[in-house]
Amino acid sequence: MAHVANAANAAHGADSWEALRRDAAARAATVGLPTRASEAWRYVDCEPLASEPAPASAPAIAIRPGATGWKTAPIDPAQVRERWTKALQETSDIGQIWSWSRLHETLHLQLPKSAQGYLHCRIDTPGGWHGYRILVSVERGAVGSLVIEYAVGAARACTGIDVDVAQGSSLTVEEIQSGDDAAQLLSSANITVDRDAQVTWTSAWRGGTLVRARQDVRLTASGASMDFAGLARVAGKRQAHQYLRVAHVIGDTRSRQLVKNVIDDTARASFDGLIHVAKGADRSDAEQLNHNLLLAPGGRADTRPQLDIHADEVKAAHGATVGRPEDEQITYLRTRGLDSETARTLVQQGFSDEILHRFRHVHP
Amino acid sequence: MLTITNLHARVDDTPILNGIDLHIATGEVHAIMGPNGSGKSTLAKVIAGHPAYTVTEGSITWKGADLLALPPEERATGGIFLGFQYPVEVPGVNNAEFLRLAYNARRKARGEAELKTAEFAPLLATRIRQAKMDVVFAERDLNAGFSGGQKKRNEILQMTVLEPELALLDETDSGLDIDALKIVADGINTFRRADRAIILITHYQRLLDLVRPDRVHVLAKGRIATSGDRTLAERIEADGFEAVLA
Repeated sequence: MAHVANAANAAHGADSWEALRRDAAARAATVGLPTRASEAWRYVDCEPLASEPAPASAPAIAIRPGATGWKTAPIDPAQVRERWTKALQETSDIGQIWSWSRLHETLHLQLPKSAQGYLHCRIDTPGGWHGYRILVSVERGAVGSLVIEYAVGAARACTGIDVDVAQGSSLTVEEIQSGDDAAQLLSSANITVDRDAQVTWTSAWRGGTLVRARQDVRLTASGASMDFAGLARVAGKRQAHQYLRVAHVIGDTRSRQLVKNVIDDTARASFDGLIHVAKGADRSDAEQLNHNLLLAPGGRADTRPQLDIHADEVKAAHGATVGRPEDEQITYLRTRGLDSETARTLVQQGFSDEILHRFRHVHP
Repeated sequence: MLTITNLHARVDDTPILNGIDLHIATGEVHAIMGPNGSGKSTLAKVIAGHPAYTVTEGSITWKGADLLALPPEERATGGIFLGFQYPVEVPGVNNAEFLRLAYNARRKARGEAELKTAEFAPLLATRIRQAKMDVVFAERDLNAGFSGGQKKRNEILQMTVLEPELALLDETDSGLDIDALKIVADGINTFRRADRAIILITHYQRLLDLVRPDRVHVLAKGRIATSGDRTLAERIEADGFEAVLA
């Protein structure tokens, strides 16, 4: 496995990011720790954030063998200075802020114009508290696949990924998380989709002491589309939370979001989604669905799919369900000869498989 | 083959069936008609063992045994098939794999060896061709995102794969355009055999023009109000239920 990012970061000098870290730490102090009273964290048990994980060794971003087409390099500070300074002042998301204040490693993934590429990067945080920033640039007409794997031990990982998908290009992302019960992962992705570009993004989460994924999607030109699917399977005392914002900045854009949670024992999961359709973004086509399967009475699901529509001619839908495996589905399978246990298992597997079947390169 | 005697059933606290008597012999096709709310679908679901319905009185004998003592899966593996009026969507469950599991459940009940995916595929391909369905439906999730007509045709596909001895088809003709209706009727006629029986629940004569029933029954208020040959269906089509039941 190649540690491209580490080696390359050294090339920019050890202090390249020191000013940024200081500014971000100041911003973090200003913003403070989130609580349930914070609108964006209302479903999250924030208590784990109050204590600092024990320091530990060897965090790293590594590129798995078999990558094709993508160029990898450290992020050039000059390239992102203005963008990040602005973003740091605008955001109040503590996960994002910590990705800068605790910045350990950066990686720039670039898919050149009209190229095709595949790359699997693993962000490994066995211990401690570390931030990572990844910049993904998909240039015009390129077609890329990307696997982002988060391996988090008894640690806190804060990741920020900026994704720019240029005109006529296509990006497929598969995002998976592994790790132990003590894992804390605050991931953020800021995704900008240009004219006639297409993003397909699929995530699978196992939760931890606190796992929260935040996606901020902007469809900025006509023909842009985003198809997002997420699955959290949590058990024990784990929690996993999905916070998703999709902005149809302009008309003739399309987005789909399907988020599913399977919750066992006393675990908890939430979905907080919002589709924003800007004024004049006519002929936007958006759908946001969240389904939760509660396998045990002690589990908890919170869901809030929302629409914020400012255009006149829009096709938009949203919905959510929370429940046990559907009796009608189980009965239907039983009338075909499957015993009730097999039917129940099949329905539960099917609930997850609708998302898992979208993975092509990894099998979470 | 199937004998129903004084069958009473309710859902929650509401009585729906109020004394059904019916005998179906091997090789026969019976049509059950009746106004909305008369108990047609309930009768089909009670025969199939749907757990939402409680039988409060009466009996159903299937091949000489007490059918009501069996859970739905044993009724299915024993040869009873219910084609649902509203087939249920089961996202994430592959149609072909589901059919193989259901087919194997029936084989297992007969003491036959279960088929592996590769062994089952040719049979499924044949049945899909016969049902005039696109092969892609085999690889889609069970009924998920299917149109109403596609769901009904998928029910017929399941019936032809599972080869039950008694098929209960609950308004399989509703929501079909004329071409789809002919395809479904062809499927039922191909399935029809001397060692099988069919109960067709329908509102309309048009299916019975294509699948000729041996007997026609009219349900009203949870009982069979009148029975006859297929000319009864023609009278209903011409004069309506009220005239026939008067």
